[in-house]
Amino acid sequence: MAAVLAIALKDLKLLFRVRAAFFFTMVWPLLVAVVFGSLFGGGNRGPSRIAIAVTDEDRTTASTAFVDGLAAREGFDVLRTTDTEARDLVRRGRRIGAILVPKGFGAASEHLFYGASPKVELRIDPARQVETSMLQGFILEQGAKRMQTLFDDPGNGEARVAGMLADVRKAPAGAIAGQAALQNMLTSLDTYLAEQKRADAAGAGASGARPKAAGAGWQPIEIAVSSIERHREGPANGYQITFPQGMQWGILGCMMSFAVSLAVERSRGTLTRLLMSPAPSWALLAGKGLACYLAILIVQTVLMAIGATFFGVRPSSWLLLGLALVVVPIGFVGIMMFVASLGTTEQGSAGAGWAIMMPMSMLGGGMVPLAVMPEWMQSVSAISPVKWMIVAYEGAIWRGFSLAEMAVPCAILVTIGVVAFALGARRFHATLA
Amino acid sequence: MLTLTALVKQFGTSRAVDGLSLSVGRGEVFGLLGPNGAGKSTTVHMAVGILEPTAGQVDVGGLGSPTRPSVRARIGVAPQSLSLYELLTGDENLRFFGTIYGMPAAALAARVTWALEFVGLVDRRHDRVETYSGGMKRRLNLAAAILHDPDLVLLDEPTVGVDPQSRNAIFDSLLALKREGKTIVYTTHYMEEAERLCDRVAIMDHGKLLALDTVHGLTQTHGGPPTLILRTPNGEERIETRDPLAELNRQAAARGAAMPAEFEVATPTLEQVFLHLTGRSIRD
Repeated sequence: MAAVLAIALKDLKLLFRVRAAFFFTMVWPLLVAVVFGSLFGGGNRGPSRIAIAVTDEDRTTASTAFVDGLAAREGFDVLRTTDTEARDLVRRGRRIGAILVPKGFGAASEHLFYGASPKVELRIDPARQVETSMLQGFILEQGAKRMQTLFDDPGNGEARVAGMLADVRKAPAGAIAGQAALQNMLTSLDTYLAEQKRADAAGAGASGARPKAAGAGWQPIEIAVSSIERHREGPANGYQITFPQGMQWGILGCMMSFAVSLAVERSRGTLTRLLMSPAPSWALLAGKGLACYLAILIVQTVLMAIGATFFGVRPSSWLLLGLALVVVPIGFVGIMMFVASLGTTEQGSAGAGWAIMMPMSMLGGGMVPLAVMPEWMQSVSAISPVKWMIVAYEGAIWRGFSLAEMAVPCAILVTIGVVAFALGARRFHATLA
Repeated sequence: MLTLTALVKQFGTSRAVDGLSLSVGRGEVFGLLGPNGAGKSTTVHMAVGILEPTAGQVDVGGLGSPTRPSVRARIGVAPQSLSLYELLTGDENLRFFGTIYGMPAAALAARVTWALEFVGLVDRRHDRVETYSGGMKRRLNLAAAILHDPDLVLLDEPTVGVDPQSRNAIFDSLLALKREGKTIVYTTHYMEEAERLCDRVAIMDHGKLLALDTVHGLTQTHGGPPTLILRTPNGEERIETRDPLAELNRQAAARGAAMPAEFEVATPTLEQVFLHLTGRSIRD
């Protein structure tokens, strides 16, 4: 056992002292995972905001409140600027639309139901139909708020209604359509708001707090918003796809390094020296296998830790992730031994290894995600150990596997590992003879 | 300490070792001489148990075949190729090989230091082997062979490809081992090394044992008579003679004043023994 551990420790030292091997087993997989994860959409940044430019030429309390309302609205990225620049920004595609609040907006906002309505101008790229509708809806909502403010604060609303009533009474007969009816409506509204104000005052005196009167704060429609977590059927972000793929490159890097190292031991004569020692030849293979297992385990764990800490690759089950981390290396240690037995020179082992593993990677979803492969290819991919490695990780990360579901890829990988190791060890001994 | 009996190794149609029998006594330094391809390394590989003989037997110290790990633990080998890990330090290499040979951890550190001191590399123990010169690597290769204090040391061309200074350092180490009474089997194609170091020498060619004796015995039997060399103004005159002094006197009497003032007696060498036995030089 001491010989096995000594060989494993020696091989791990050698692996991490070869800069190229370290790069391709640790750094390269991380680069693949991060770069492709970013290209596939990266992390959850939330929905993108609609970028608009707003020009307030009126500069009254009402116009400022309107623009502030836009800016405070979630989902909008508001830039306050001049009309000329706003148009230019839209033309150059930097902003989806431009809203101009012209002079007279504040004055028109003083009255309701009669006279000119407050007006805003919306300039927008005609190709952005969806955004146009959203902006129009939002501007209408801002307009409706003018009416709502009457009821939010009965004291202020009463003053505004009184002003409008005075305007209507002063207006010459026939100047306002439906003038008599409007006057009646405003009078009734004035009475209603005065009663609301009294009710508020009575409530405040009774309890010290300010309870709302029955009609205070009335709105045309009230929307109650509550959160329901959406059940995700896919990955939460691109990194959850690319990190298992990146880990695959780390595993292949380790595997190939160890497969070639056996050929290097042959060519450098260290294999001969080891075989001349009292340590049995199985200890040599076991030591190599143990070193390869530990190297893959370390590489996977480090990559997974980086993914979980910085890129939102959080597993749905830590237990299943642990199982995948422990089982996946078994499959690839076996393949390493088989590949190592295929060549007696460094070039032979490396050539045979990549010739086997590149198609396995392509078929198994190591290069193109399994989810986007055609159905027939997904069926064929079952022959690739890379597929089962990725399925195991995805099962633990975002597929929400049960233990029974996770047992399938794990059992396949263990079987592949044991069979390949046995075949490789047999071939290796045959080449020694 | 090592007995080879009718040893044969066949690779396909080629017979690398052909009926080799010899015995090496305890504490003896035994030379195995022959040109490249003579079968020396194959013999060493069978002696250490990593090659199965096609026929014949190997016995180490009366313990049996070296294919058994317990027998192999009694043997130290410095293979011809530099069997070291270049990315490990000298210290790490020796610790690794010591562990592989089953040395207890407590004794390993002291023994590694001893081995590094023995080959003069203790100052470079923490440097990676890739930074060593060829001669230093050869010395470390030797240190790895003797680290576990084996009874039998097999050295396969231990000085090949090194500069004269490193060769001398290796040679001094081997002489020290000889003084310690180690049994050493030494393969080489450098005749002068065998002449200087070996108690007995076996000469091999094409897998066969051609002769086995002490260096003196071999030169007496197969080297031919000594040569009296007279240096005249016109060049050299070489006279083979069993009695150089008598021949010198005879030449002086015959030549009188014309007798050359410079002369030399060349005794037969292993090179001449090999030439006599095979009809060709060992370096052909």
